[in-house]
Amino acid sequence: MSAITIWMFGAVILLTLVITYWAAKRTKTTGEFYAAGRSLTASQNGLALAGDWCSAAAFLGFTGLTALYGMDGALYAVGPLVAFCTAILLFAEPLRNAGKFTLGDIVRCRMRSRTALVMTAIGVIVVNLAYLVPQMAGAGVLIKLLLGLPYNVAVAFVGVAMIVYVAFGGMLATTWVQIVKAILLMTAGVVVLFLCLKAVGFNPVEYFNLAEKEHGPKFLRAGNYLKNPFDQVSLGLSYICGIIGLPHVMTRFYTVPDARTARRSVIWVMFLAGAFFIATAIFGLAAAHFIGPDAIRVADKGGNLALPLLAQYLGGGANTLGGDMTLGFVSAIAVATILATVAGLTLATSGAVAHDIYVNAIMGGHVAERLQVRVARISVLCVGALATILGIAAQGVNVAVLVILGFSVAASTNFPVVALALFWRRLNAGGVVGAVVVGLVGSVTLALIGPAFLGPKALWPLVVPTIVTMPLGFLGAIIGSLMVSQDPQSNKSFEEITVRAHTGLGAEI
Amino acid sequence: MDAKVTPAMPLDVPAYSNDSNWSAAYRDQKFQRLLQLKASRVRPAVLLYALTYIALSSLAGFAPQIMDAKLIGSLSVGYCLILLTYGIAWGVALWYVRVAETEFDPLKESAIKSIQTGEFLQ
Repeated sequence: MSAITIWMFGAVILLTLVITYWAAKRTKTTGEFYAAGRSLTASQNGLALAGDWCSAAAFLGFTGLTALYGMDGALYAVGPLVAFCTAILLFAEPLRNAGKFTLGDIVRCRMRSRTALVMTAIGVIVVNLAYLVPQMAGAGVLIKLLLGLPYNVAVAFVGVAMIVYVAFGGMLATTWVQIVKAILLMTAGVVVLFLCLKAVGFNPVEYFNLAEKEHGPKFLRAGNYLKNPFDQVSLGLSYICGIIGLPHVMTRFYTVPDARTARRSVIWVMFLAGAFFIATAIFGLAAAHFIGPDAIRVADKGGNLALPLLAQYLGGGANTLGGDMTLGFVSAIAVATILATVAGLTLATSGAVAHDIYVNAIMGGHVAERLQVRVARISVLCVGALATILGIAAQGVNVAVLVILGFSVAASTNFPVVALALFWRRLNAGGVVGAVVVGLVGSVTLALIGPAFLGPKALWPLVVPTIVTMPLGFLGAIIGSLMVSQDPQSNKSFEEITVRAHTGLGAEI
Repeated sequence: MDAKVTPAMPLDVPAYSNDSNWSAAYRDQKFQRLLQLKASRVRPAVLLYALTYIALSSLAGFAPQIMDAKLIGSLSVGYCLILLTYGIAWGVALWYVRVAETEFDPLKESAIKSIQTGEFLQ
């Protein structure tokens, strides 16, 4: 652990705390707490989306996957970019127009049913916790490796930081932490890419030639990581549909003043994150050349330290000022990345607990504004504490299954509910219950008996079960809806939500 | 004319709900034209990006040898298809913003005017 790494790490934390202090003074109402007063511009929300979307799995994971498994890393990376096509074409504007703070708001507007609202909130909480716990566990491992802090201390530190950001600064602090992280990430990306390309005379094809020459022709083929062909397709479906079921991403569309800004913010994230995802292919191949897959595996068997090690090498190598500076910079960004992502996840989970379940399902919406904010802050504390405890308990456990579970539940449960609530007249509360029960049970069961959890003893062949569980989720929604007699209110509210979604009439301002 | 929308349960719903005749708004001719225009323009774009991405994933899974064919040095068809997928995603998104701002938004404004002068809010 070098002094430069500690200084850069400290600078990032200090900056985020200053942002939180600034944001806390501007966060008094529920609109400010959950949606930053719907005041963000397209570029601000786009940068925050990029900060949210480029999680540690993307920032460190895609580079590591390419460095260890060749093309599968690049195939992994393109999905999250394509996913935003689904968002911009079909969901960003309707969500902004018809929603308020959470995904549950869409169901509430459509169903007026407490059961449907609570079931949707359960789907949201499961997805968010399935994401939060691996992020916490990843933070523990990463900070331990980079800064030398014990695992439990590192997880507790991340837990306390995210609770402070979100409880005090709400969406405004979360947004600016994500923006700062995105700017740091893009800066580091440009610097590392420049150094990578400079090393090969600005001819990126040279890295492909070197990879084939040094690691054999098999290295650049597809299928080194995801060996079952159906897993490739299932992963693709998880991305392009699952994004709609990820509450921490979708609720970002509530932070802008109108649908036009929502759609423009997607363009920002698509170009910022997309450019970074393309660059991870070069980073990965450069890491495979300069560091080598074996050395990368020694540092971290999942390859997550490939990018920090590459930055250190390009900066001049270990124990040099340049090497320590680039390693420190990338490490600080890695920590900022985790903080930005967990803050977004905690806020979205708190929205499901406080806004959906407490305020709307239990109290029927009749809660004073100040009390709503207080309950939201308390729920942040509870969610943060739970995530920290689960993160500490997850030490040494294979948490990869939770990421897969999170995506699978998002695509198989939340996606059918939101999509059908917006676009299918016949959906009713029975359908929401059917989608959540079938999608959730199917995803959990298949993820737990699949190779990600049971390894070679798996009872189910696919790592990513979405190819089966997403159609099951839709089937559950359709059968559940048809089993309940059509409610005239649900019919009318379909017309209401359609008008709201496509015109912005009655939209929250 | 449909009865005014009233919530079945005493849940808090966003503004407008209790005062507006959303069914009349839904039946508004200009609004229906907006829905048709959106469907006709968005559907092919959804098919384009979804099918090309699923085709890429399927090729990677079921025909890796096609992906492995070399184009420039060791740069393979697979990597070029991945780059093409980025291009398609960006192209579709930019196209959508242009169409939304030149075609959907003007019709939306017109539909809102028509709705607000009709039975809505009466």
